[in-house]
Amino acid sequence: MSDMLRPSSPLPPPDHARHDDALVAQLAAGDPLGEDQQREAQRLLSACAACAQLAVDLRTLATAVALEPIPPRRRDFRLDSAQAERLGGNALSRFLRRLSLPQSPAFGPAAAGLFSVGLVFVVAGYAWPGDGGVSVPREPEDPPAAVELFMASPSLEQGVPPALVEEGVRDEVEAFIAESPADRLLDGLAATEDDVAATGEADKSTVAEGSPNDLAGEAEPRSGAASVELAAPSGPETTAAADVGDATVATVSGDGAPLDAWLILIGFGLAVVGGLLSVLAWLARRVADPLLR
Amino acid sequence: MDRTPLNARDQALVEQARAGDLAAFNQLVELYQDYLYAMTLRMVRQRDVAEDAVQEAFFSAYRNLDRFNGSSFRAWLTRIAVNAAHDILRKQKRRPSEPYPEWEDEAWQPPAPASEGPEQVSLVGQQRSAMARAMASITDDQRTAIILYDVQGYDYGEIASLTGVSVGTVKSRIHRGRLALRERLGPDMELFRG
Repeated sequence: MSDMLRPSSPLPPPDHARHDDALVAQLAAGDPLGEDQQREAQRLLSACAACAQLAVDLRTLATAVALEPIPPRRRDFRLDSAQAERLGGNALSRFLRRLSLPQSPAFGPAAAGLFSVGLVFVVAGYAWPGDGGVSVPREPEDPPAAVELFMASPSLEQGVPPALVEEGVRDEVEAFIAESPADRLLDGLAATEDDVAATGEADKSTVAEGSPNDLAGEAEPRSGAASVELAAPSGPETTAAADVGDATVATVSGDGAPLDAWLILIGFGLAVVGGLLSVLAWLARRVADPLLR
Repeated sequence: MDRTPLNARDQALVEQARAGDLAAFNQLVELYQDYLYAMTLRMVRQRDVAEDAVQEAFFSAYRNLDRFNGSSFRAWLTRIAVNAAHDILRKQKRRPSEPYPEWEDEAWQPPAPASEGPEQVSLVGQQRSAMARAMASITDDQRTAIILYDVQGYDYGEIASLTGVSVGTVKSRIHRGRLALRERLGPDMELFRG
């Protein structure tokens, strides 16, 4: 076929530059072509002498490359026992290489998954609606009425409105601002037993100065054990406060192990194990041979 | 190409080497060192560099025998050697050196047969030099694909697996590489037209 396609003239026709030389190369290599491509390639070879010469040259080159001589090697690549021992590595590197074996491809993702689940457990434990083993105050849905009044005053620079002072809630407003959840979160998520006790004392004094019936229910979201003592004699609103207070006291004193504490504990455990495994997976990737990519 | 009996032989040697038999591994080295050396030399075009690449490939193979999945030891070793050669070529690009001096030095070449006249000997020498220059001038990826296809006899799918690219990319590299070779040869193409 190549003899038949040998061009009659060495000069390429002027429109050869527009011909698809990649298509000619595919045909010359014997690649399977679609019906249309096959027809087009054959048309180019029969109509264009330069395309026909190109096909012949490409076949010639494929053979010429294979005939290129190779100088003899000057090195023997067999290993001696010292090299073999050195290449074996120490126990840690052998262990890490085993971790990166293709038979255990899920090791890294499993470690990352374990770490993620642990984090989810920890977050869920902290967010659990019982306040749990940590007395992080939850943001009250609505601020106390006294605080709303205070915030609505024309200017905070002018001080507390006299009406509020007379009602004896100035301390509560100041305590609300001073003990805002954001501040407490910044001070540390895990409040100690002393924190809870102090909060209780503050609430005691607040209620003592003001009206217990008005304030007990409103102070519930951010008060602890103290709410139990003060709110117990009051109405239905204080019942909820007592429940929350009981739970807090029981957790802090270690009388029981509520679900949120377990969540946090398990979460920390999973996260630590997952984190360690992730570090091992990372080390295994580091020692993995780049030539095996 | 059918390499099943070879695979069985290699697999047996690999198992022995995994069990700590260094002699078994060295048998594998003896079987494949010439093949790997010729392939990497065509890729990197320098004897010392090719020998370093082959050495690295055998070191890596020995270190990672546990990772060999039992298909074709030859293909696994080829892939490691191709990666080693590519790494060396990448480093060379950062530190350019004298380009491919080995092909210019013909001292290693076997003497021409007595039946060949001086004209034929001269022609062969010119062909080798021209081909060496042209091969050195195409891209590393094109050269690797052409060597694996035209010299080592792998098919498109095997080359795709060895080099980690698609079959379409392999075909493109081979065709573009050949077209580039022809263009680089220029008037020297006449040397091969006979």
